[in-house]
Amino acid sequence: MRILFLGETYRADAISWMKGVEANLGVKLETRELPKGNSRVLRMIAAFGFFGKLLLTRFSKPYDLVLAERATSYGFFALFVHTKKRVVAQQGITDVYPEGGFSGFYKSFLQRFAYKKADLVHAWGNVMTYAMLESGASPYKIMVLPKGIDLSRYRCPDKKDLSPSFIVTRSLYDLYRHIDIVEAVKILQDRYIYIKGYMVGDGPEKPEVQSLIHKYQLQDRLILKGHVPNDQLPELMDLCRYYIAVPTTEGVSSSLFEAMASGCYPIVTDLPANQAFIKNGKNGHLVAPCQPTELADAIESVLKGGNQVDEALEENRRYIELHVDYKKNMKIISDKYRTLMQNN
Amino acid sequence: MCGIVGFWNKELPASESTLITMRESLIHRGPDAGSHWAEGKIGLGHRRLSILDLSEGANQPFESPCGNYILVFNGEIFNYKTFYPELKNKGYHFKTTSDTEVLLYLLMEYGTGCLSRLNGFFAFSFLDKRNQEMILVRDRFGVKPLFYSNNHRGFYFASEIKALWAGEVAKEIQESQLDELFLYRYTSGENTVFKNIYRLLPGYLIRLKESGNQMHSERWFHLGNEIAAQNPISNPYQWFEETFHDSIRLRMISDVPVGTLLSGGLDSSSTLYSQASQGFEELSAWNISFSNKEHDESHLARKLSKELGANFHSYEFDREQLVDLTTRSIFQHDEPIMHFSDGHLLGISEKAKSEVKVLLSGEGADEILGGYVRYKVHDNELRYNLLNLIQFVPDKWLKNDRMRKMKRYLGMGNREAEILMNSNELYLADLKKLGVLSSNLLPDFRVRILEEAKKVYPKNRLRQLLYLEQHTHLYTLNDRNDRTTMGASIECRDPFLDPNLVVGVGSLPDKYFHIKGKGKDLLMNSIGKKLPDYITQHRKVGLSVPWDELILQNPLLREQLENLPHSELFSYRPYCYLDVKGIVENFKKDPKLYYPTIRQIFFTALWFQTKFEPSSIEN
Repeated sequence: MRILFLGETYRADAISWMKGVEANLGVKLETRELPKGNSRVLRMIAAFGFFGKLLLTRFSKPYDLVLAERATSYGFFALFVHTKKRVVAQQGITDVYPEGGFSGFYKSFLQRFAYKKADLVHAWGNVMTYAMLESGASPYKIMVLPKGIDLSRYRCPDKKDLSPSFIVTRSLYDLYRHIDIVEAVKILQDRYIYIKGYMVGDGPEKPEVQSLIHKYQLQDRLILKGHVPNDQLPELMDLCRYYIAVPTTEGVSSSLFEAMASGCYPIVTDLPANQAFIKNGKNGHLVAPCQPTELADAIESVLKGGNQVDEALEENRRYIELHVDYKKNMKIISDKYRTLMQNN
Repeated sequence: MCGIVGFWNKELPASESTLITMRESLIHRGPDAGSHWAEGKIGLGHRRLSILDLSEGANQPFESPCGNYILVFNGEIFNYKTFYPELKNKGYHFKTTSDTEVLLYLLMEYGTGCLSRLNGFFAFSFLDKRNQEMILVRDRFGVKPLFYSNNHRGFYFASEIKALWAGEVAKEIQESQLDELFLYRYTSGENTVFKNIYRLLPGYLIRLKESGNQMHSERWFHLGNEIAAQNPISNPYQWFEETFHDSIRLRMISDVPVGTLLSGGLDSSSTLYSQASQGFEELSAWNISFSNKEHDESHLARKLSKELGANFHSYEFDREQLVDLTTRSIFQHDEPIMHFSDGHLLGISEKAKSEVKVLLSGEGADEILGGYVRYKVHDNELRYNLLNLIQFVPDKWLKNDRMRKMKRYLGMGNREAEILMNSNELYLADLKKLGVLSSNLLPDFRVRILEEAKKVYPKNRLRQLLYLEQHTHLYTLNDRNDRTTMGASIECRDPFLDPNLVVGVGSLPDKYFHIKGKGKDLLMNSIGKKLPDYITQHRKVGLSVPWDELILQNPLLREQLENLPHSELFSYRPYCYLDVKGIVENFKKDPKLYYPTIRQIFFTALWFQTKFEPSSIEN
């Protein structure tokens, strides 16, 4: 059995996908990806080389399966690989990004073409299926299932006695709006409400976030942890009863699943991808993006939440165990690939 | 035609009081007799509407002479008399002239192998005491209902969901099913909108052992396979006419008076015509009339009835009556209604009750033969491609509601999704506009049946659509007809759903399926040719109600509209994403434009109130 993976193999998301397939199908995946680099010209030249190599597969024994991430890039390239079956996974709510302009026009063509030719189109959540259907994907080819998270890594300890603290696990990029979180903590401080926050990860926004923390003198309340290795993250999550993520855009988020599995009550942006898993005021809070006061209100309300929060934490863990268990889901996904390969 | 209930407890012995409560909740389905059987952990109950063999000896549950088998049965086996010689030869003695006794002996002799030989509609439970096995079976097209719940107390089943609730099965919303309810107007497949309450699928059976701890489901009727196995039909029009007459003849078997639901359209007129042409006497026709001429066909029905010698009864329900009937039919239906004509059917059934106990209907003809206007889009490829150009027409130029709807429908740009959503009022564009952005758009059952349809008819989109509709939309019509007619203790029979007719029609070449004119080529060019022109040439009129006007003008419905934003329904996904206040206000300003959305949520909220809120009529 020969399976080729087309995608960015350094990304955690891709790694967990590949590992799950390898473990369940008992095969080592071959991989190909576009070269990285700072020079646009060199990248273009390398991309032609990459494309040429894919075309050369026409002269060798076909692959049994190609797995490709993102319909508008690797998903489209997958069409040129000599293979028996193709699986394309959408990465965002749509892979046509930006949606407008010439870029949107040609990418929507690529996405439509990729879905038409794919044997299986993989959505990690319902929120992705809108774009899939609008791109002409056959309903029968669409599989909706998140890869899941490794539940053995995440405990869900009782955190009632901990002093109130939250965790932010998104990298420090502008779209994740860490500054709104800092502003919200400042508002809470002004209301004499205490909460401590841990911000994990690095990114270009770090200096600005840092300076804002200094400006508001929140150094004892907001801790920038920098890069934390994946295997140490669960320990940190065990110290926090709340999880905050307020990006302006969101796909199906593994970080949210990790928070739900770890007993961190989610306060997240009111975006479709989050709505699919969080019901406002029931198992989490949904807030509008770029609204620090609303975020502060939500945190305040949650701190007074009592039983509702306890019930939510239990419910969330149950949900994750039932629907987002990496072992279970990757087995289902791999079985589907196996069936696909058998149906010649 | 009756109501059945039963359970198989896990631990506790069968409680007769529970059984009686369940059974009596279905008294409308069988006012003529009620009885039950209980032993150990198993209980079976039955309410009887006597149609064949009116004697007490034909009351159920039926127990075999050896005492090992128990049967509770809802439905009719129209060809039951054909089995007498065979069963008598095998030594069976008959004490009644009921079809129930024939079914019991067939099951004893052949097990479920006999099902393919039955012509009728049915839902039943058959218990083999010695082997401690219970079998639940449902007919091919879902004319008769059967619901079940397998919970910690045991396995419970009943003809209607309300009987499960009477048996203390929890009444809770299954939130994950509301996505499908909202987008597609009803839940398909086994799912209901209630937690841990399922429907037994048409053409399926369930084998139970050990109180439901062992549960095995089988598909005993597969339409696609039956179509593939059908012998070629040499003269389709002649064959269709003969088979339809046979179907009518079988459905006239009754020991009580039989009438016909006559709208004045092609389907019901063909039904009445066939009865008259075969010499059946004492015919009666039951019609719903409308003062609004746009909706009214009563003059046609009256004329035809007179010509065919049938007693004609026509009733118009005024707005107050209609609101009352609709509210009661919502209660009767248990699940949310989706056709919005339920009140009319309940009303006419209540009127007909004074003279008949059985009504024949033309239901199913549109799905089997291809009759709905909405099918036209997929009728031929050239038209489909031309219609797709509508996407480039600005909205302001589309003055007609139907054209605007077409634009939203074709805007999906996905042929298979269009087939899946052909009977919808809302499409992807509407969901996006309404802020419903994370719904499950692809219910498994629908997707699976569409895939099956593609295998049966690989090259014809219209026939794929018909096949899908025969497994989805048709089931909801059957549910509506069952609940509304049985709500008035009337049995409804559907001649267009005769298995020989449906399978035979399904096997015919594509040329017999097109939606030119009224569509239904096979009917139009066979029996239709014998019907007067005023029936065949009249434009198609559905049983539609101007709910937009009623909701705004009727005080009760208007109050409901004003209170809509306060309904608890809107705390559930996906309803919680809707700006209900905004939708209500927009509807008041432009009723036509916002009608599809408001109708959907208005009736769902009314249903929710009826079933879940303390002030509902149920309490």
